[in-house]
Amino acid sequence: MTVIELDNVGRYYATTAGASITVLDSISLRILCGDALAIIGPSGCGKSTLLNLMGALDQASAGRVMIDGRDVAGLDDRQRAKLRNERIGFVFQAHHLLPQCTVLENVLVPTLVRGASSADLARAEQLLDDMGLADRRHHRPGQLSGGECQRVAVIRAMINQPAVLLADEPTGSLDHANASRLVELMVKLNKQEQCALIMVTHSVELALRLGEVRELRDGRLHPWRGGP
Amino acid sequence: MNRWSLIRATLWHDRRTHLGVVLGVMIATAVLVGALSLGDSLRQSLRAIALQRLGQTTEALLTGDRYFRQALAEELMDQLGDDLNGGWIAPAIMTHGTAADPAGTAPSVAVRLLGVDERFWQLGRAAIELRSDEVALNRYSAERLGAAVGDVLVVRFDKPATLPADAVLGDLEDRRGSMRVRVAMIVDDDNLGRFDLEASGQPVANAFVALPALAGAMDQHGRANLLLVGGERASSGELDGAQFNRALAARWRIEDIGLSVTDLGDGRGYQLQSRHVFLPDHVRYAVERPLDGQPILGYLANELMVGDRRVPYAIVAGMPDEWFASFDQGIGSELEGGIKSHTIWLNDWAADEQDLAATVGDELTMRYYIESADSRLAERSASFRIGRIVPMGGRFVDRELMPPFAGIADAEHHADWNPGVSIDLGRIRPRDEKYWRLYRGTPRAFIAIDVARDLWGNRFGDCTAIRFDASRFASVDDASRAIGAQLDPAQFGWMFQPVRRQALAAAGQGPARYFGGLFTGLSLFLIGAAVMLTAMLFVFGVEQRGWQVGLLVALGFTGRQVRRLLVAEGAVLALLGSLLGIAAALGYAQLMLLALRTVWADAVGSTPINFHAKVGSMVGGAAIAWLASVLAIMLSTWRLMRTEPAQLLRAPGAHVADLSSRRAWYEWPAATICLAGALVLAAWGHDATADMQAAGFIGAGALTLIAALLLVRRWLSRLAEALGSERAVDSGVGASGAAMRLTWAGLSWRAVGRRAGRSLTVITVLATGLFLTLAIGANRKAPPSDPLEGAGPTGGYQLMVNLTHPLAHRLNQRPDGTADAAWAGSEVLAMRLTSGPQASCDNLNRPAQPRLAGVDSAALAARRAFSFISIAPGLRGEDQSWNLLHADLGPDVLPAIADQPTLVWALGLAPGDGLTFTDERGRTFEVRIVAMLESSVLQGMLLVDESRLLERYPSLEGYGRFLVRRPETDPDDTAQLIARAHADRGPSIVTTTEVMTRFQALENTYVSIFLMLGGLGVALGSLGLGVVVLRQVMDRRGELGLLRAVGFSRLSLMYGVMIEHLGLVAIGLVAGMAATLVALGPALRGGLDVPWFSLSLVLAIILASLIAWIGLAAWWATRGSLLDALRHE
Repeated sequence: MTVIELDNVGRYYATTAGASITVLDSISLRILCGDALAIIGPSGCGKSTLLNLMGALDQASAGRVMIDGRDVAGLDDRQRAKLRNERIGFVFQAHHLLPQCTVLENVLVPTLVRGASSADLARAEQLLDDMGLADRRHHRPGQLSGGECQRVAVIRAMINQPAVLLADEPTGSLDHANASRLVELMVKLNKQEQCALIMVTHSVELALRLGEVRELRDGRLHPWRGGP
Repeated sequence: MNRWSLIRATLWHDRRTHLGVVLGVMIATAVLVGALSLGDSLRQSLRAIALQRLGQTTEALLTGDRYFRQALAEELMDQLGDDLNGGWIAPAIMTHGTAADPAGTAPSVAVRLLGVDERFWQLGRAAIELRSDEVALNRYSAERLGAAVGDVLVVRFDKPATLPADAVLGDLEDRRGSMRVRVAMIVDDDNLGRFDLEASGQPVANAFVALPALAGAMDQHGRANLLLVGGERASSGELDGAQFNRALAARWRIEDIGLSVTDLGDGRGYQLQSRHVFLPDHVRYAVERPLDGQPILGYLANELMVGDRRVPYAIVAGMPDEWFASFDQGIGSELEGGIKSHTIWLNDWAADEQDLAATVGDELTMRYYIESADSRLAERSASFRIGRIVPMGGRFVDRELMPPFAGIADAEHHADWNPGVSIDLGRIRPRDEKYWRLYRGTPRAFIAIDVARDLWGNRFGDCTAIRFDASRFASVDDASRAIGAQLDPAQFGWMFQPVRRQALAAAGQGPARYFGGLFTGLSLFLIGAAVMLTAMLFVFGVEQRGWQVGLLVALGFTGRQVRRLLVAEGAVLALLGSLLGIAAALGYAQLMLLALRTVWADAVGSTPINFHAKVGSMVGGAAIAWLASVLAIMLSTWRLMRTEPAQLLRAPGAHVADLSSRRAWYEWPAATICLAGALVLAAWGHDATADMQAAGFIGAGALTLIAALLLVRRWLSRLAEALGSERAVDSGVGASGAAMRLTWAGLSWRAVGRRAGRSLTVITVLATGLFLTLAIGANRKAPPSDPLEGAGPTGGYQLMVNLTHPLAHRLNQRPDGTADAAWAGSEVLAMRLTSGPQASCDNLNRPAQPRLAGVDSAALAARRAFSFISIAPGLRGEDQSWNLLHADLGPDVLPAIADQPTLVWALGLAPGDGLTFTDERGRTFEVRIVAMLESSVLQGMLLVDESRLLERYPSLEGYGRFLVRRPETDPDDTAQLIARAHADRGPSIVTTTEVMTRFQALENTYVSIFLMLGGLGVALGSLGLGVVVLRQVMDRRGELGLLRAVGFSRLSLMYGVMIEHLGLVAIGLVAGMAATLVALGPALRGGLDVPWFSLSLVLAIILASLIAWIGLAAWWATRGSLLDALRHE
């Protein structure tokens, strides 16, 4: 089942001088349920922009972005927000945990959109348990290590059982061991929950742990042919 | 976990960040609630004063110069019986007087003299007993006199006149009475010390003496002119005011209003007369026909003349037709044909060879005085044909036909006459003396009553007696009762007034009603600054955790949901701030009250204000401040939410949607239109009236400010536009735009452009604050530079003279109304004043029937005195001058003119509006405002035409106020001349410049208050600027760390930060000052008393505050290790 489909998607920015800068150009991509895709590329090549488009956080300048078969361009703000909440999970380079909330509360934040239920609470506790963070659930982010925080961020992204988990350089601020552990966790969830995983990273090593690797270069996605 | 728990957790977590928001709302609430509490305090204080000055008095009947029997008080109590509910009625005498020490070492002081007994004191819950040689002073009069218990004083007063001294044949005799009294006590205000029936707003100098003693000294034994109703239950409002008037109608007697019936004897019948000489028209109408009375009009002729023979000073009687017919049944045709206009019957004495040597058919010329239309004495003459010579006997010798003229009726000899007109006693012949001795006031001639009325009828009435047939009544008492039954005391204006209710109503209306609003208005900039600061601090707090907003959006929250969360968070903070603000308001209000009692005392006159806060005002004010803060927060978060979530998720400070880098198309056209508008307003203001001029120039200044801010916006847009391409490069997605030269100053300006929206906000707040504070603060009113300028606020008059005892003639006239040579070249505006309270700005009550001043409108129109600023609708096509006072607006409408502060501030009226008055005959009429003058020395009164005023208040005696113009003489010399000539009338003489200065003091005090509160607002704004600086620099700590890393010193970084923000301050200052200078156009022309020192001080404080906050923020932001910041980045 197709979760995300990009059809000739382009993203351009106009300059004040009247010129146009092309960030993404004619990208076509289909992500199926349970897929795991890593996107690599140099800084500033548009990886995050591509992820934002797939996460309905940004609008394409050209082409179509389909999520669950629905054209994102045809959705209003409220519908896009609903889509993000129910079908997409985000993990960023920074964990963005709310310092005022406990680990458990942070995990439950996405459920507040519709109002947290006891089932949500049970799932949150289950996920924390599964990820070895059960004893940390009443701690605040300030009391966790960087790796733990990022794991909590991943669990938060999974709380609503999304169809796709979008991770924007989630390991960027972690050491190698923690980074490796985090990717393992995401891959585990990818398989366990059958949720597609798309990860943007600089690390080829980590990218290779996912099933498929593509390189973003000159605004286009290319199959990765190896090399550092 | 729910949204509220998330909000609660966020609030607690970011409590330090939120402290500023709470404090901001607290300040806004404190200022707003404090301002409203001031209004409450003023209203409550006025209410307390109203109750204090009246004690337990609920109703009052004041009869002026008509003294009734004191026994009427007991009779009314008998009549009311149990209805009084344990209350009582106190008779008293209330009149004006002066008091001084007998040695005359100090000027006399005008006092309100009250003759009272123990019943009066009971109304103040006091038990005071004054002996006949004692006086009790209230604190104010004791202070003014410098008197203490045991001191001896002489109090002087006028005894009531039979006819006003300025009426023809009025009472010119010395009516001055005096009492030598010892100060027995100083009466506290709580014991009726400040007793006053009117809400005058001014302290009253009361002197209380024993009622019998004062009544005796005034030749009014057993009489009084004031009845006060009160008592414990009466003051609780259980009594119905109307029942007092019903009781009065049942128990009054005609002698209470100065009427009397005499038995003429010998079957000649009964005669009704008034001690006030003329019988009012309504008395005649009520009595003449129903009781078959015959009106008579006796008058004094200056001269009877036949040929060259003359008889001086003879009484002539106007008699009814029936009287003539009773002598000759065949006279009917004569009555019809000629007697009414041409015929006079002369008595034998006057027709005698030794007098006129007249025979029937001769022509007789009669000279007599009347009051002319302009209220001056004028001699007129009329010609008659002698129809009959009547014998000196029988009914032709009738002494009772002469009215009780003051100065004549009681004279022993003819040569002792002292009537209210100028007579030449040298013309009295021995034969006249003999006539007086033999026949007293027996008329020497008789004319028809209709003719007499035409000749001598006046504002007091057109008959001096009504005669009734002997068979009509059984006795004098019977006649009195029958006549009394035909009359209603209300026709004489005798109605109990609900003084307590009126006082409480007056205290709740007028300036007091909107004082809270006014103070709020003055505080508006301060409140606005606090609210803006609140919103700014809140948004900064949200920006600080902008990534959280971005995260929530990424997690599926809609923008609206996130905004709701933020606004709910802000609302909770604002609520906390509002609650704290209520507590702070109590302190703030006390501080303001202290200022109102001291440095701003002119704003509330002599009204002592005590703190009273109403729960409604506190809750309402706090709610408004809360709502304003929440709205500001909503607006700010709305702007924040326009930012892309992806941007928000980046580092703090790099994500705020700022001023659009696109130039708005309207900037140039709008700026051009505003500048053109400013020029037009300035040009219009140049020729406008003084009040409109200030408004015009402030409008021009405001438009200049808007134009300047539009241009600044455009400049910032261009700066942002230039940087826009750089931002694109920074984010790695743009081409390298136009590079800016990299200098230290250039870097600073880049920072200005980078946060162009914030920069514009800073400049706008600063420029607007400066403009509002300085432009309005500079608008202090200056006293008139040339009091002789007729169109100015003085009307061209130099002095204002107030007399405790009104003068019967104008200051520049002699008592007989002829011009006084010593006053050659002078102009005097004489004002006849009713007894109502002044409606001036310093009376914080709203009088229901303010003081009316009768003026010579023709003279004012001829002089084109004062300036008109508004005419009533419907009269705008008329002659727009003082002649409007002659406008015919209907039978019961009296046109009036007043100045702007009186109408707008004190009475809340506009041209075209009207007030209902009751005249001295109990008739209601409307005083309608036909025009409004600029602020002037006429403040406090409604000016009406003198002759029309006298139609309503015929017994209004003399002139109590004068405006004097003597351009050739030093005003000090004129003042001394007046003081010497009228020392016994309790004169108060001030220059009109002083009067205007006093009136303007209130307005200027409000300007000072605004200057101070506005200055505080700008100071708060500068604190906001400090926060902006701090925030901007904190956002750029990484950038500063980098600069530090590449070799910049901490000092140079501080310098750069300060330069950047002082640049903003400079732009704000230039924009604000440019607008201020335009607004100060009138000042540059000398029309205003610009408080340069205060303005400079405020400006210096603002600048010092700005520099201090910027410096502090720069130091704070650059302290610590900036390299660490770089690493965090």
